[in-house]
Amino acid sequence: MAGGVFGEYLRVDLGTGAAERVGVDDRVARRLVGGVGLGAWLLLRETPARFDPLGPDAAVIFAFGPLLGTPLTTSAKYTLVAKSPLTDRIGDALSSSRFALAAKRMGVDAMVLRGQAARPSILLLDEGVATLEPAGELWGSDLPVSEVGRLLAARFPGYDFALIGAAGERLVRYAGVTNDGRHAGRGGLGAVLGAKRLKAIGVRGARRVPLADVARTVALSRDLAKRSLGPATEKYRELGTIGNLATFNRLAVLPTRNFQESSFEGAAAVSGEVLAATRRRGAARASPAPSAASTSSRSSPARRR
Amino acid sequence: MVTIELFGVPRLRAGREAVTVEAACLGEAMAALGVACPSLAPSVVDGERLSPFYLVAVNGIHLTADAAHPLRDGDVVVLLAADAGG
Repeated sequence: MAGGVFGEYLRVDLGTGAAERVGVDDRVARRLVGGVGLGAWLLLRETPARFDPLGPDAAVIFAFGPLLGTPLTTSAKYTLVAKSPLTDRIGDALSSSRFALAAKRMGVDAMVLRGQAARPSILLLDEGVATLEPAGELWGSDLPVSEVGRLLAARFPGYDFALIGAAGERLVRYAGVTNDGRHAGRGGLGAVLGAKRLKAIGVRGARRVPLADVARTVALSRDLAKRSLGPATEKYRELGTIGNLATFNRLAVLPTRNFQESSFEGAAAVSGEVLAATRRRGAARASPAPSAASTSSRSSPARRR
Repeated sequence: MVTIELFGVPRLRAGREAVTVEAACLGEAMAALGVACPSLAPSVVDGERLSPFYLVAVNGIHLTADAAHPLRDGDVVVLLAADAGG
């Protein structure tokens, strides 16, 4: 088995709640590039031709590249792959942090979610063993996803969650998936989870990702960690990814209106430079203790009409 | 005159969106930029040399970091981070 992979993925039937480990031939794994490659391969393998992206034949794949779970900095990322309800083509969206790590540490290179839950549910995967729990009041509320995440953490301690919000439940074709305050935003894949009546997926795993050469991996990780804090990445630390927006707009290479145009007349107002200044002003004005009124208004459950 | 447009970290650091300088080549323009905006030296420009983490687009056509690249009156030089992604 090559370093960085377990050689297995987890197939979950949401109709029955059953999960099984399925082997991936090492020769196949070596032909695929990262989580996107594995996810696309699994989507083709696990679905029939011409399926409805919001139907029961659809599959949602959380795929993990070989670097995830290694000490390499910024490698804690997962790829979400499904047929996009927005484009009717293969869609992939990326997100990162603890959810990705815990999921891979179940000893799998991907999770394939098939079928449809009978009722709105939360899927718990504990070292690959599946349980479907009723979503209860979390489904159909307009709670912010951050609040849903807090409630899930309190209800199911020890799990890391990816979840959808009201848009995913309502099958909005650009709904995203969120975890730990980060978002897999492309292609409306949150709606695919919503169609499966899946509010959240909780994962818990503690297996070590196998490394082909531990000493070499650690050495490379230390070097990369050191360089990742250097001047080449300063703009991401100062401004974030949006620091590219104004520059791209100036060079007329900014995808605009779904790639119909290459510059956006309103770019200056939402550029990284302007947002950084806005954040600084906001931080300077912020009260150290939010008022009770604003706190309760953010956390009060509200049923949908 | 050559106009140098600043974006991202250089703009924040210099506190300016653009600088106008006299220059016949990119190296001269970068040196003048360092003088006009001392906060950009040496992390962005070091004398006539551009930091390896930056390059420029000249009139939106030439992407270069070559100090000898000739400039003419009216040219617009956009200072860019050399990497992009996210």
